[in-house]
Amino acid sequence: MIGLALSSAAAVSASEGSIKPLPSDEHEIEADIHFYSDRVQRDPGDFNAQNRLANAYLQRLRETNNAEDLAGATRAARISLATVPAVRNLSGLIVQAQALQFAHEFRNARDLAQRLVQLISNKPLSYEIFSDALLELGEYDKAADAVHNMERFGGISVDSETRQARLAFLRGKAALAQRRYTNALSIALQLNPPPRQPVAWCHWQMGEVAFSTGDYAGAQQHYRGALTVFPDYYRALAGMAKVLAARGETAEAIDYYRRAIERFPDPAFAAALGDLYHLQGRENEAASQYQIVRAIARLNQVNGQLYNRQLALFDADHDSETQEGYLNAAREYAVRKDLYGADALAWTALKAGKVAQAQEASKQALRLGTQDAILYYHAGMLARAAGDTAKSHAYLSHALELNPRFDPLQAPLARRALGESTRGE
Amino acid sequence: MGAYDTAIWSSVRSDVRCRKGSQAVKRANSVSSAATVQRRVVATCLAWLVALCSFAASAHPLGNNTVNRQAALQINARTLQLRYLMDLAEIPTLFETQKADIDHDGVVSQQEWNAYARQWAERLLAQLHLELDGRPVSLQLQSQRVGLQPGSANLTILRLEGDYTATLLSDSNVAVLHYRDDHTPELSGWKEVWVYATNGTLITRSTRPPKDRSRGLTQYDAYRTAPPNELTADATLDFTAAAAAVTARQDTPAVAASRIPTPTTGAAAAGATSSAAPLSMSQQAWAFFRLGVHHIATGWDHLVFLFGLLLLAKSLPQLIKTVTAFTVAHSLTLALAANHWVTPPGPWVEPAIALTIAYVGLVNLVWRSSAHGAWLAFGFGLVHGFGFAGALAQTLGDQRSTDHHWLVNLLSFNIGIEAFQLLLVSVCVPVLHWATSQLWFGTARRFASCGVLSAGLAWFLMRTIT
Repeated sequence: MIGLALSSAAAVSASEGSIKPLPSDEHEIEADIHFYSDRVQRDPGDFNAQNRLANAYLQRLRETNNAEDLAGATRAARISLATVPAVRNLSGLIVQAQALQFAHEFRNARDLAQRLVQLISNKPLSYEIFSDALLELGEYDKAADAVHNMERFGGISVDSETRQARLAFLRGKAALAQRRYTNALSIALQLNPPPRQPVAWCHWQMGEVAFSTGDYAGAQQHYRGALTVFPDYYRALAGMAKVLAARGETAEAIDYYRRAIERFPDPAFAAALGDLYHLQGRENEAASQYQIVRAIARLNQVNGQLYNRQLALFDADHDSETQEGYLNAAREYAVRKDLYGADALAWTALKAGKVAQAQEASKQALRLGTQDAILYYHAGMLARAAGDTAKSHAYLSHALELNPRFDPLQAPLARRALGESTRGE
Repeated sequence: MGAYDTAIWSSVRSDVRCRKGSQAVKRANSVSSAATVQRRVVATCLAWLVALCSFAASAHPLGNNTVNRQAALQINARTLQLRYLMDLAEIPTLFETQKADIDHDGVVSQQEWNAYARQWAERLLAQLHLELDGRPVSLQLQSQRVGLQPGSANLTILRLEGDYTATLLSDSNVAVLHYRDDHTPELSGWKEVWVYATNGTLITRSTRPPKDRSRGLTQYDAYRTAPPNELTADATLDFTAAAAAVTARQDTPAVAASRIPTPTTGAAAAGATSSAAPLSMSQQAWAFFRLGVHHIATGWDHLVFLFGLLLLAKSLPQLIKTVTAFTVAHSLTLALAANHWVTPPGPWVEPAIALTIAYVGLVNLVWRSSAHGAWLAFGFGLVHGFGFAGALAQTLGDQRSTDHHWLVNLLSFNIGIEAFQLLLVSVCVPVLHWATSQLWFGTARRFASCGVLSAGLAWFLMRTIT
């Protein structure tokens, strides 16, 4: 942890001097969207304009995560490919695969990306989209190959470094992940002009890695960096809230979560905010936030989303709707076998009283040795339920060592369980 | 939980790629090289289908986390009425419901909603900005309404409405109006502004259409691939005719009292001169003459019809007869309708005008002449007169023939129409005369007739659908 804290601090100081607000390109994207919208309105058969429209929507989606932009991108990509088939419309294939990725239709995205790799096997973008889908589906070795091909055909870039960083983190190499993100950030800052969203995204990711290893000061600096570059970036606002909550600055954390939710109503933010209200004894306000989590989940169901990992975890964390939460997680894991999906399945299965299924899933969740406190906390609680005190003790100790205040509601439970197991010994 | 959502990756390359495109490059690149007619038909059908499916799928078509808004600016002589509508989808409604629940009991009473709406409407006073010729214009809140409607997943959607007024005072009869909406511009959704004028104010230039495209945020144009993102409007207003109408109305006290801004309402404070000062008869006549010219010069349907009549005429005497018949006929119905002696058959006037154009195009194309061209022009002129009357009626408002200026105004309006018509005829006739001696005239005439016929049919379809 100390080593990582040092490397994170070094990364911060290296990049701190260059942290400054970057100009927003939202007007440019907006102008693109209107330009190409007018164009395709006049001529829906202009597949090139449809592709560019989809690309502009995807760019805005990265900043806002707004479903409206995703719908626009999907629509434009679909019309483009219906007009000119994929073999002669590779840009259409690219934007459709990217839209599917954003829509969490990872299997379809992977299939399209695979086709893209077959059609243009010497371009890094094909492998980039392919690797993203594979990472989400838990096919990590194949994802690593795809990232290797990205580097082979496109050299070291922001895109390749961020994916290498993600792989490193998942494989338990948090320090390496931090270095990769630092590289990605440096490359992004050398572009003229540096692109705001990717720069802020790198800062945010560095904050996430720092937080997951208990480096709260480093995490806070990275999140602040992201907010300097991109004020009101909703991911960084939520990151700040998370780290402030860990440092016991609950009132400030609440304020940050509220700002994040104003920008983008992520049910995870609402759940975390509800937890903070609950800890402050503001039960009505906590209930309101929990109501929002459920309402968003209901809307997702109405909109055709088949599974909802966030809701499953919320239910498990709050010991509510445990059977339904387990079914949700199992349904998702059947099509998406990433390690966080396995962890969600393990945690919800435990809450639903299915210890055997939970143990099997937990093994999968820890298979890469990812150094994330939440994974070890869930594994520890599961071992405790299964009566394996030694394992439970080891996992819970490791979770709290990695990140002592990983969650305002769950970390105290981990500490209590660890205390009980220590007394039991 | 945030660590679980790793689906959204950054992508520098696409950002940079997009930046490289200048407008010119965009135009060049988006010229579809492979698109064939068949593909375009398929794409059009699919665009319809996809758009309809995605827009019809939900009561809130742009998504459950959007806030739609519409500002309707109506300029009625020197008064501006602003109706501001907001339609919040399910998720923003949830958040606003929590804000409205002042006593935190988990239930929002009607009183709490009313208080919330009042606060919302008052907050907008500081966020909606109006300027006339660069000088700020203050809005007055008239009323506000709040309503909840059923949305998706047994949730509700919130609809808020605020009515505001402002007095538009300036030193001249031509002024530039600027509107800006600073109310939560970052929220995504349908953002529509429309500007229209009644009672004689002319909008000579506007950055926003005079049309309610979403029918008060209830119907969304399924064709659009991107919703409008309009938070500002600029319009050049010409109050000359309105001033004339106002002056005219001052002779009819019962009507004038409710419409004319009193000279003391803010004018003294702003140091502005109220242009509601009475105009002389000649000034009024000039204003109505300009209104007539403006109406025919911007009325493409009338111009196309006239062009069709010119094509039909075989000789100069025949041309004079035809144009005179058209003029007499439309003057007649204009006078009758504007004086409320005859009521135009409502929404059928505009489609009927379109049909007259299509018919003239057809006659030109098939028979190439008409033995009874003058009678045809007279009959159709009657229909066009109702159209002119509509424009004049907007200006005259409730003014009737009891006002002695009325006849002068009507005549001035008609002379404006005739003057422009005459100008057009005097330009077209020599050109047509020269063209008839050319070998290609027959072909050109057929093309022109096809154009007139197509325009007439297209207008008919559009007006019938609207």
